[in-house]
Amino acid sequence: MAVTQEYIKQLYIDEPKFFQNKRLKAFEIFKTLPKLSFRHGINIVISPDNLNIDEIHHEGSIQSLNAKGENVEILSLHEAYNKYPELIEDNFSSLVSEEDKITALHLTLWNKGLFIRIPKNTQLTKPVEISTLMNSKRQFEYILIIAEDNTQATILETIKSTLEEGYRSSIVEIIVGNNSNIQYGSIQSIGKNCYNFSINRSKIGRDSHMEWFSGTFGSKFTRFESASLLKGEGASTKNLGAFFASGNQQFDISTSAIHMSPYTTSDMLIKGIAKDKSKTLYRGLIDIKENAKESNGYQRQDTLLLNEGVEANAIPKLLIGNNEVKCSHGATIGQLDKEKIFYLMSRGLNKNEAETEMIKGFFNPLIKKISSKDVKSYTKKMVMERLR
Amino acid sequence: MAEQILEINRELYDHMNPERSVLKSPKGINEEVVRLISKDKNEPEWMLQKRLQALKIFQSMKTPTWGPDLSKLDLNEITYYTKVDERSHATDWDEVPEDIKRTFEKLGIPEVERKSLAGAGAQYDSMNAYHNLKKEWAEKGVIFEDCDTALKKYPELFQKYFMTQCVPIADHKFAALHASVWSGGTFIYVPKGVKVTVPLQAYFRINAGGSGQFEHTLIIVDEGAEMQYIEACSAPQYNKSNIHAGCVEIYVKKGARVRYSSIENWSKNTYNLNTKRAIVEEDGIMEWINGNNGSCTTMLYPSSLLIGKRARTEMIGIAFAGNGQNQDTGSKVIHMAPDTSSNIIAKSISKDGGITTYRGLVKITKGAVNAKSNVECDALMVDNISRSDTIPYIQILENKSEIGHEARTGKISQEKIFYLMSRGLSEEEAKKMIVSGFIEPITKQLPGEYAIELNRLIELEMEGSLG
Repeated sequence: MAVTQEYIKQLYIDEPKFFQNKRLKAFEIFKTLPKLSFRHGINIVISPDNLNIDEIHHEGSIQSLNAKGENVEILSLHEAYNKYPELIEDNFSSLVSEEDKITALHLTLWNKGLFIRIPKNTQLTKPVEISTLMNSKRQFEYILIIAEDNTQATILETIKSTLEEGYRSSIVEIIVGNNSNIQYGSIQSIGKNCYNFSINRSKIGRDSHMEWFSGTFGSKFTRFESASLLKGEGASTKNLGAFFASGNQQFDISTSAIHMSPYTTSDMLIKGIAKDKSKTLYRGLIDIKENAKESNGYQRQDTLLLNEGVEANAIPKLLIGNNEVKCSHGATIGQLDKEKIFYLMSRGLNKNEAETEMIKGFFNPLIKKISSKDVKSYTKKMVMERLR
Repeated sequence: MAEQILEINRELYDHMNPERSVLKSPKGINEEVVRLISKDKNEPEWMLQKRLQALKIFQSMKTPTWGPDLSKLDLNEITYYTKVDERSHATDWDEVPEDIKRTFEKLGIPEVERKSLAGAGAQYDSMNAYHNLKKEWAEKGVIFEDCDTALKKYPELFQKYFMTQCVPIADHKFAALHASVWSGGTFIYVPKGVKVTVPLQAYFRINAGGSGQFEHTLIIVDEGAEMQYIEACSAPQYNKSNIHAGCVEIYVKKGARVRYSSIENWSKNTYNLNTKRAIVEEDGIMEWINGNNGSCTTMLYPSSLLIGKRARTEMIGIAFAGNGQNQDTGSKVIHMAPDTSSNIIAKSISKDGGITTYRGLVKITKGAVNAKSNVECDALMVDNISRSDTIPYIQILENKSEIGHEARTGKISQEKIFYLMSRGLSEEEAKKMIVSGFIEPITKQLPGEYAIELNRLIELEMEGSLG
């Protein structure tokens, strides 16, 4: 069934007016937006085949976005609205708006909303676990996390699917107060024929630290973005990621840091592997605004190509509007060092073992950088699984 | 230290002579203008047809919006063709008209000549006014002509190489514009095995206000030959938007080696939308050295297409953006054969609200086994009202290849300044010294006079306004 105004009104009849109006507005924008573009620069194209976004509609409601954690408040978005209407009105869709057809459709049709509040002065000892299960052919998830002042928390989202095929779209918005330290890991391993569009964004308050980790393993086509808005003075962010593309997978991974205040720091490290006939694109951005003096930005991306027939692209951007900064980036794309493999083989390993060791070594600097033990061990596990 | 913004003395570079144009096309571009150019030049039919075809393509293409703002560039206000006078092919300095001579003197041509460089071609408004080639090279079969003459004297070579494979007329909007109104420029052919040991050079210059400059440079360096070419540009300050949409095509044949150096210093009302490209065959080496410090807006991305095994390219660039300037430059390399390698160094300085952008491309196509590419971008920001962006595109379709890209942006290191000051230098001297150290990888590749000129230019731009 095609999406129309009437359809939306009917479908969400029981919802608070606030959400209903947001959906209707998003849908109006959706209709006016240009066709999706998957072209970057002159000739880098990474696009999902056979995806017609105009035909995607709502399909059932999902019961598959669950979270558990101690000392935190976990509610559905609707419950949260009843309890904190102003908080939700201020923050819902405050970091991700109708930027393109994907996000506009998402904001029209999101069907499961999760709200997590980490109350002031709370230091979590155990991670909050979010498990997302893709069990509906069209899935639109929305997560809003409010980390109040002086909090410390690790949130680990695991995304799996029971389906091999489908369309998943997700938005995560994290509002970090002052003097807080938040880690968010999302590890995606959904079915090999799914489309996956994910946007994770956070706004970071004064002297707070936000660490992202993303693991991209599943799906047929993924467009993943994680971004940090360094809003408060002294805010910092780390953005780490691993991807492993094989078969016919296509990954478009982007990380960005927008430095909006003085004394802000960003550090990005994304490492990935392209194998078989896969295609990958990394887009990185450090954007230092005019007033963000004394800021530091560092960005690094490495892709390892394991065989013939792969394609790897990188567009690491620096946009610098203040001179009192230190900013640099690096990107490498290459193959496994033959000499090292030869050396390992001379020590008795077979070729496969030698390559596996090399790949482990390739990811090692990344895994070392992950602060959370849980995210660390889960990532290791996922990489190992893919190597088998 | 108080911020002191000094307008640099551009008289040396922006000196304008009273116009001495003989023939001027009406403003704007249409079929009539194109026919007029072709007719005035008495061109063969194929060239007229090519021009007309290009005009259609130009008219059908949209102005690119992915880069700097070009909305203030009014293409209907430009005079696309100006001819000076009949005495355009002077070989003896004494024959060159006085006012042209004065301009050249300020640009230093006689100076260069005295230093016994191989030859000097100078373009004065859309025509060559001064052209000289040392006899010894002519005897070895080296052709160094202006393009209009070359089209008549070497029609086969010209038709084969002019805007065919290297820069096709439909390459982009301003390449199409160039193809339809091109005029003047340089043609060089170096026969097999000939090594031209001293650089060939030419100066280009826009003079009549509002007139465009669409010179074409076509260089063919045959198997095993070697050649260096130097081009420096300067334009007088003028009120109307000036456009420069030149085109440089270089063919580096098997085992040949070419170095192309240019310093482009157009006046600050010029839109510099230039196209430079080289096709490099097996074992060929192409070196690009580019300096951009003039113009209001530059969009220039020198490219090397490495089509033969072991072809190599080195690309060194510096861009300087001061008040009101947007320098959007970068190198493009496409590796299309095994064992090819590229090395790119890009430096930029932005100041007084200037914008520098590095927009580059490294592409390794499938089958370019063992291709290697290394890119380094360094941006220096003198104050905090300027901008510096780095936007590299990396596209790899061959797994047996190695690509590295690195970029840094920042201000002049306080520690270095402090160190130099502790050694007795003033703050300004220290900064100047650091800046000339910063651009040294470029200046050291240039012949003496040019290195000095570039250093002096940057020094002038930096003077008094550091702080």
